[in-house]
Formats: sequence, C-alpha cells, structure tokens
Amino acid sequence: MQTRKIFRLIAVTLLLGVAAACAPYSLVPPAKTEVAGFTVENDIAWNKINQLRLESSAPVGYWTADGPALNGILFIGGVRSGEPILKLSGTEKDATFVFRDSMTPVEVVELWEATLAKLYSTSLADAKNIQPGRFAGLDGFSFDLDYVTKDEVDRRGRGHAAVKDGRLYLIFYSGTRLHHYGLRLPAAERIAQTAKIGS
Amino acid sequence: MVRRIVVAIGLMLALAACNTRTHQLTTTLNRTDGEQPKIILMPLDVELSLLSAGGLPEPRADWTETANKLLLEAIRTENQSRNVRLAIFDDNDAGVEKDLSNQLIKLHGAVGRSILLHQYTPENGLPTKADRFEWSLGPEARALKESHKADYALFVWMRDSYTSGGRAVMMFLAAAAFGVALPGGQQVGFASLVDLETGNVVWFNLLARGNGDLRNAEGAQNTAQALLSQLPQ
Amino acid sequence: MIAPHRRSVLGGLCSCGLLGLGGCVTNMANEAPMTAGYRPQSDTDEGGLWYIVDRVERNVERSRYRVRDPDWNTYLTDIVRRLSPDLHADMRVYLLRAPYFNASMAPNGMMQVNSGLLLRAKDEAQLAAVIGHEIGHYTQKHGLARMRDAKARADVGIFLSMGLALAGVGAAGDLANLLLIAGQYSYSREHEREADEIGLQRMAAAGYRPMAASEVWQQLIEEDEADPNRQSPSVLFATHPAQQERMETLKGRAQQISGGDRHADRYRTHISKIRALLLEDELRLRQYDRSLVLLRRLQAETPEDGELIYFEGEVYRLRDGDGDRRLARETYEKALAAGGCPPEAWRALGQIQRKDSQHDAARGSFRRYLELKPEADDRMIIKSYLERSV
Repeated sequence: MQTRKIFRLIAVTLLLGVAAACAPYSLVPPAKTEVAGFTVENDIAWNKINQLRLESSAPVGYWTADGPALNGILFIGGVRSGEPILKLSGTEKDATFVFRDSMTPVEVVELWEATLAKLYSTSLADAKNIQPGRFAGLDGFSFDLDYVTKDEVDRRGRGHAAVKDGRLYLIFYSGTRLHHYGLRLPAAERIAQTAKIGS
Repeated sequence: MVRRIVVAIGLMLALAACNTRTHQLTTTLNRTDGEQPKIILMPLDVELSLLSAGGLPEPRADWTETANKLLLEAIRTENQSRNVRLAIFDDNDAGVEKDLSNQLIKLHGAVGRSILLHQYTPENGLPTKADRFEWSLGPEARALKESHKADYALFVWMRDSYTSGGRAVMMFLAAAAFGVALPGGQQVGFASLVDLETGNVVWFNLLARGNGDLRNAEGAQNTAQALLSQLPQ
Repeated sequence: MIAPHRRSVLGGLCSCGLLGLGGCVTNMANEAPMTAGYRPQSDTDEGGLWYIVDRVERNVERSRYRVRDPDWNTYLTDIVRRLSPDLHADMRVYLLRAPYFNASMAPNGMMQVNSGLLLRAKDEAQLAAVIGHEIGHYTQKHGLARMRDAKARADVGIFLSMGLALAGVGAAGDLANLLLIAGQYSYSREHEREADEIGLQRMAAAGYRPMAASEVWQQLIEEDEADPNRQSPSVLFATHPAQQERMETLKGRAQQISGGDRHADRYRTHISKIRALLLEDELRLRQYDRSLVLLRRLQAETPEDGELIYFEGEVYRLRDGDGDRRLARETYEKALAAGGCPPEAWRALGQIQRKDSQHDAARGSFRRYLELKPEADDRMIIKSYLERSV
C-alpha cells in the first residue's frame, strides 16, 4: 500500500514534467512585433515564453534573451484602474496591490516595487531614478529598480510606463546586475523606445 | 526545480546508457606568457547522502567531508597528467572583493541552472540558442583572473546518493509489483570551465550515472576522470 | 549554488506544520541538554543535521538579506550573552531584513532574527523574551528531536510529497532553505512549552521583566485579529499551542516570578537608527490593518514622534479608501509639526495636494522636499511637477 502511494506520487511528478514539456519557448525574430497590447520594433531575436505563469487582468507577455533566470522583458498592456498589475495570490489579498488611475508616477513605481517584492517574496527591492519621459507616444516616466531574489544574485531592472485612458502600460526589462542586464539593455531600450499602444 | 531537472536529466542519460554529455567551445586553452594555462578550482559543492526508504536523501556529514578531500585530491591528480596548472580559489586573496567573488559564484549558479534547463533538456531549449552554446558570467570575471593570475575557473557540483536497506526493500517491491525500476543511488554532477578573460563558459560537462562512489579514493579518482577527462588542454 | 537535495531534507524537517497532521508523534526519548562547546560526531544523524545547517549558515553569513549594522549585531549578541551566560559562546545571531515577526534557532547554534520582530518589540525585554525562547529550543536540542520524529513517522510517502510540495515553493537557492528554516519551523506542543518556560527563567535570571513574554503574544494576537486576511500570520509558534492559551500561561507564570526591567530607553536608542527602513519594509507588504495596530502601539510609547506619525499617514495614502486622502493630509501635517519627521512627508503631502488640485500648495510642498533632500533620487520627476502648470 505504501508502494502504491509512492507510485501515485511518481505518476504525478511525471505528469507535471510532461505538462511543462510542451514547447515552452518560441522564437521572436527581429522585426516589428505585436506583444501584449503593444507593437514594438526589436532588433535582436528573443525567446517568448508561451505559457506564462504570471497573470494580469491586462494582456501580458514575457521575452527572454538568455533564459528567464538571466534576463527578460515583461510587457503589460493596459491595467484598468482598480486591478492589480499582476495577480499575486488570486485572492482578495491582491486588493491592496491595485493600480488606480489617480496615482502619481512615484506611486505607480512604489506599487510596482511592492508587487515585485511580493512576487519574489523578497524584502530587497529598491526603485530609484524616477524620471519623466515619453513612452508609447505619451507623457510617461522611466525608473530603475535593483532587487535580489532567493538565489541571491543581484538583479537590476529598468521600467517605462505611461497611463492612457485610465489604463497603465508598462514595459519592464531586468537581468543579473553583473552581466546579463547590461548585455541586452540597448536592445530592451530600443523596444521601449519604439513601443506603440495597439497594432 | 533544479532537483527535478537533474533527476529528469539523470533518467534520460540512464536510459540513453551514457554517463556524460559535454558542450564545448574550445579544445585548446589560452595561456598567458607562454606558460601552462592556469585554472582556479572554485570551492567544490559536493554532498553525499543516504537514500531513505521514501527516496529522501539524508545528507551524511562524514561521507561528505571524506568526499570533499578525496575529490579535491583526485582533481589535482587528474590534472597533473594534463598540461595545466591548478590553483585553489582563495576567498581572502587580496585584490578581489569578497562580495564580487561571492556574486560571481552565485551568478555561476544561475548560469549553471540555465545551462542544465535549456541546454540539457531539449524541450526547454531556447530557440535563439538552438545552434550555439552561448553562456557567460561576463567580463567582471576578470577580477578573478587578476587576483589569482589565472586563465580559467573550474566549478564542480556533485550530488552522490547511496541506497539504504529500507530503500533497497522498496526498490524490490516496486519492481515486483509494477515491473518498474525505482532509481537507486545516483551520482549526478557537473563541471564547468569559465574563461576569465571573457567570462564565457567554454566547456561544460554533465555527469549522471547509477554507480560511482566518492567515499573511497579509487571511486573519487574515477569520478574526477569521468568529469574532467574531456577538459580542453 | 544549487542544492536541491538539502532543500527537501529541510522540507522533511518541517512536515508537522505544513501537512497539518495535527500533533507530532511524540518521540520524547529526550536527549541530554546542550553543553558548552558541544559538537556531534560526524557519522551520526545529528552530525548530518549540523552539517546541513552549517552550510546554510555559511550562506546566511554572506546573505544580501543580512543587516550588517555593527551596532545592532553587538546589541543582539549582548542580549544573548545576558540570557545565556553558560552557552552564549556557541551561539551566533544573524539579523535578517524580513518584515515578519519571526526568529528561529538552528541545532548548531545559528539564531536568525527577523527585522520585523525588532519593529514589533516595544522594549528590550520583549525582544529578550523571544530570544530566550529560542535559546530554550537550542539547550534542549529540540531540532534534533524533531528531525528524528519526522523521520520515524514519514518513512515512505510523506517525505516524498513534502519534496514535491516544496519544489513549488520558489526558485531554488540558498535563501529558500534559509527562509524555510525561519518560516516553517514548528515544534511540538511540548517543545514550545518547554522553550517558553526556559525563556522565562532565563529572562528572570538576566533581570528582564518576565511579563514581556506574554505581552509579545498579546500584541501578536491584536495584529492577527485586525488582519482581515488572517491566514499566514507569524508562522513562529503559530500552531501549537493556541496563541491565547500560550499567552495566558506565560502571564500566569510571569506573575509568579515578577520584577525585572523593560529597558525601553535603551531599546529605543538602538531601534531609532533603523526604524524608518523597517517601516518602509512593513508598508511594502500593504497589510494596512496590521500596520495600523503596530503603529498605534508604537505611538502609545512615544506620542510626539514625527516619524511614526508620518508612516501612519503613509498607510492612509496607500490605502486610498473613502476619506483616506483627507486623513493622510491631516496626519502628514501633524507629523510635520512634531519632531523627527522625515523630508518625505513633504513629498507625500505634495502628492495628496496635487491629487486634490491644490496646485500652489502642492508646489510649495514639493519645493520644501527638494530643499530638505536636494539629492533625492526622484528629484527629476518632482522637478517636472514644479515646471508643469498642473
């Protein structure tokens, strides 16, 4: 009977393995590309995660150049006022992590910092250098965000955001501070600079 | 997650009846000033455990201590026959900040996990890296080159498990009842060689097999050989 | 680097709490209590356990999450020495930046204290109560007993399922282990009672007010009750015995002992240096009801503290419910009138005024912020508010 228990568990493990095995990544060639409510111009090839575990009320996409543990760019296209940027637990706990269209840029960055900290269960997330700037043809803002996750590798991120018709549009690039952040930063900045809302 | 990856890779290799799989970018090593290439051996990450009946590895401090010493010795011996000089990583070495070397080790952990996931499990392959082995710690790795006057850094990670009496019974029952073999003890690990000029991982070897024993000198030598015999020279 | 195996072993150690099996199988073939300078043989199960936690400790030493403030580390070490004149040399305290009420003790003498605990203690005696309790787990070798207990019970399926459950806990890495230890360490009812009693006795011997131990529980209960999502409150001792019962027992025992000092002033001197950072971490969790209970408790100690009033205003601004904007504004104004208010209060006030279309007032507040903090890393965006008409 104990043997049967083991085998049930093994069967479950194998199933999980198989479920995770259906082509998780697909190629994003350098071109004009539509992603999560944006149209962007990317001048290097990226790998798109097909079944993203991150959920949002808005369209969301994630591309990585060197693997999600090393760098990647997150697209969130249009979070409505009153919704969380990312669904963190799927419970009412998310209610305190919601975006509101009355928020100032400082408050949006503060919310994103808290969202990321919650997502990675870390207390080390520090946004800085919030600057006004154009994004997706709108008056928006950019910021940097240093953070550390459980593997204790220092990571750095750079975000561009703007609010249009009460919805938050955000592109957030991040990678390991020692290398992979800088490696693809120019390509990520190019994507942010060419981003347009819609197709 | 890594555990699942490693176990999956272990099963895969076991089915394919091969012990190691190597990726390499070079067959010859760089050398500064015409001398033999110098490799820093980074702190070994080795753990030996006993598999309990439920399949849970229970770490054994005594075995691990022994294995650390034996494997270090075996790697030294293995490299004596080659055209390289081996140095041991020294955290207190002046010239490189502890924090930087610590971050480089952590970063190699993240890069190593990525290699295992994307390079060794084909279904998780990254399309942009389909035809090339392209992994790096970046040029900050040069700090180690300068502090240790070395050309390369070698990272070794090993997990070795042995079967307990209870586990053996379970394996027998499983085979009898279902005709399926439960994994017994396993030796899983990898060695990774980083070029300290560029930070690029130039050689990576994964070892996974159902035999091997790091608890005695002969077994350790055998493992060092399996891990490093194809190291570029 | 990569340590998947170790993680599942630690997972196994935690099986009581996570699986909710209700009461560990008591395996109280008690070990001899800890002696000074003790180190187990490496070929024993205890040696294996120490080996794991020694490795975890080497990672904790270098962890990014460690608060390296020398003043605080000396202060904590001094408290441990006062509570344990006999064994303090075998214990090491690590202060971690984690905004939850928690502390833990590993079998090898590595103690981890969360910054969230420091924020929640009103005085040194309350902090000493938790540390004394953890020392009790150490001296009685509860960690070892628990490992043996878990092993005896879980020879087949449970360990495996634990391993699977934990595989989903998060990215692999050393901090995962560390947090598992800190987070899911739950002992048996008997062990908790024993550690409570030892903690009280050590507090009394060190001249701390024993009543502080029950106060810590009372405070935690108050926070839990305020939290509408009371689900994953402090995991430390959360399971056995029920908090209320435990608080009552400690209170009764403390009344028998009585005496002792709070050392509230000494504590305040130390905490004031890092409190703003800890409060920022607390607010990032966005658990407003809990934070308000906490802030009001701290304010009761020092009512005219501008920093505490400012953070209360921050709760209202972030919560942004009906009437919160007005509440936030009034609270910021009160904070700015009190002493010790950080310059960020001007920025916060300016944001509220801006939302309420009081543009001149907002500009005045932002200007004041930039005067007080000319190098602020958000100065560019703040300056853009000053330049634009709206």
